[in-house]
Amino acid sequence: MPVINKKICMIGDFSVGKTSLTARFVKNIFSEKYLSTVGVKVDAKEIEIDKQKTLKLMVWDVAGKDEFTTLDDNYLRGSSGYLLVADGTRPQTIETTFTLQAHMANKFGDIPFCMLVNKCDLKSNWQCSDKEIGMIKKKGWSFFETSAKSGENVDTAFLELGRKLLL
Amino acid sequence: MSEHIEKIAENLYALTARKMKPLIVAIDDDNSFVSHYGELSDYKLPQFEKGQSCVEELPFLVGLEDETYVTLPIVNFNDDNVSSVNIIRINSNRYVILLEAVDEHQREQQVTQSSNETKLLYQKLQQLTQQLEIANQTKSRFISGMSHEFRTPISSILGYSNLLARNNSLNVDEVQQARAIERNAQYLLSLIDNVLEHAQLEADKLTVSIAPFLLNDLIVNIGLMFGSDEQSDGLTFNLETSESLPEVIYSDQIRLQQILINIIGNAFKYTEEGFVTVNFDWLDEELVVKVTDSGPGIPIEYQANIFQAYSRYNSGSKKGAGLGLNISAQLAEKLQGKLELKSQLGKGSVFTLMLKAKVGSSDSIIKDIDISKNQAKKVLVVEDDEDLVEILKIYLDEYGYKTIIADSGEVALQKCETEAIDLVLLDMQLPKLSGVEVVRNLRSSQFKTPIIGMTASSNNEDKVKALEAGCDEFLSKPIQHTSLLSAINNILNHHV
Repeated sequence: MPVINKKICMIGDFSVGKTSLTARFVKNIFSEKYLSTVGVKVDAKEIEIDKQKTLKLMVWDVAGKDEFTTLDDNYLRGSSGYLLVADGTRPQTIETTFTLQAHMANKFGDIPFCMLVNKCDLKSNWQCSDKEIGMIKKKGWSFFETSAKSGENVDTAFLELGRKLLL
Repeated sequence: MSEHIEKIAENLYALTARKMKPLIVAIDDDNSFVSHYGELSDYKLPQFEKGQSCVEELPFLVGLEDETYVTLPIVNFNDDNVSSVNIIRINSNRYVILLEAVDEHQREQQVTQSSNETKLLYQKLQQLTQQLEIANQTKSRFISGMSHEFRTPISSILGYSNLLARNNSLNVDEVQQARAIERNAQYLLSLIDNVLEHAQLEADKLTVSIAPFLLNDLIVNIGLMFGSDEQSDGLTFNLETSESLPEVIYSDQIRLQQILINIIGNAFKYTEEGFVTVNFDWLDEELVVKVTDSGPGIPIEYQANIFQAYSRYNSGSKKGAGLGLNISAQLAEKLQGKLELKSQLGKGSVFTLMLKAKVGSSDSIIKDIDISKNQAKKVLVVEDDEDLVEILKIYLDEYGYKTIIADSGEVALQKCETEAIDLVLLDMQLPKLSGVEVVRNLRSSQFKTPIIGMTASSNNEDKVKALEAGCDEFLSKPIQHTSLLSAINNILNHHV
């Protein structure tokens, strides 16, 4: 089965768990320690889509951004898709994903993406209300509640993006 | 000389170049190896065969095949290779230029880490502040609600005990018993008011209303309140006034009176024998009121915290929530003044209130309300509490007003439409159709008769809501008969 290489980016506010999600997906590991990403960290993992195609995802874990900083578009060029990541315990990170998605659509056109609200293992501490989750659902985005810590929905989300890349 | 400089520059250039470990890898459009310049081992890269795919070792190449020039300041790839990457297309080949960026990465990582951790802490703090604000609002709503629940029955107790005490058929003992009920109800009310006002001050929601008033009215009130034998309880009460006192000043009479009642009340509470002296003076555009007592005095170690909430000296023997002085000090501040204490153990205490106030003219004061000409006017009382309705009716009857009763907002609207009414006394917290809705409804149908809103909540927001809806005046429960009649007469005498 031929392997198809695709570049995808992890995008979101700082400290939402982009690096942890990537580490869970690529190496199936998790660390509680927070180490902020500088520039970009590139990892790769092969996944099989519906036992028909093998996709090698080049995962670009891009340094987190907030409302005061902008993404360096050089890191995003050539992406086939992206995962937008927010932290359920910090509602403002969901707002950031709306801005980032608009930026991506404006710069790189209509490329596939999924929205991940991470840290669902801390759901009792989630601060985002039904209003914020409702806003995501209203947008019709593919949406997953994930936990890099427990692994919940992590592979599912990457697989879903993989499927979208092959459409 | 210049030879030396050139030599040094060459060496520096070589040194810098060595440190940056430049590696150039030439690749074709398919990301396959063509050639290289520099040490592949510096980046833990294997020796590539010509035509071999570089994607495994240089994964960042994927997706960038069509780009002419890309610069990626910091790329971390294949576990711990940290470099700056530039990709340049020249004709059919692309050149991947790698420069080591470990130091830069480390430096930036430290800065970003510290900045992000600070931002996280700040966000956490914001969240906690928000949660605290919500909790505080909930607490305020609860206190306000409880205040309403307490004030309505106390209103009835105060009203009926006052009626009883003024009943000529009672003997002296019975009058004293009625007065005891009234006094204790009044005390309970002052406790509730203190708790509520403390909450409002905490939330910075308590406002003062500056207006001109006759200073003498305030002094007379204080004299009446504390000068009776019953109040002074064997103590000598001296009320002194300076000749330099202006006739009219601009301040908040109610709040000023509240402060004085608190500190004079405390002086009486803690003084077993001797005197309480209140001295009013005017010094350097300031009203200075000194309350001196011959009480036990306050030890020096308690004096620093005496104006703190819940701080009470000798609390075991006396009643109170420990909020009165705290509220008084905060109110004094709101009135651009301050409250000070001087005390000596065994010799007594002096509380001094100093307030900056503008002097006004007596023309600005409305005086002499003529009650007689309002007699026989019709007052619609809209109130669902039967006991309170009865008291209001007695008060109004006493002064010759004709009372019409409505026990709900709906009935009130009907009565206003069918009967000629001179004034409406309206409870703002009616079930179903609220007082605010009734007022809005009436005002929108061109009902011009004056309306006095009544509420058991002493929350300023409720007052504002009532006035905004179209009330002409606002009274807080418990409704005292003098304040009620004064408000009614004031409105009827000035309503056009």
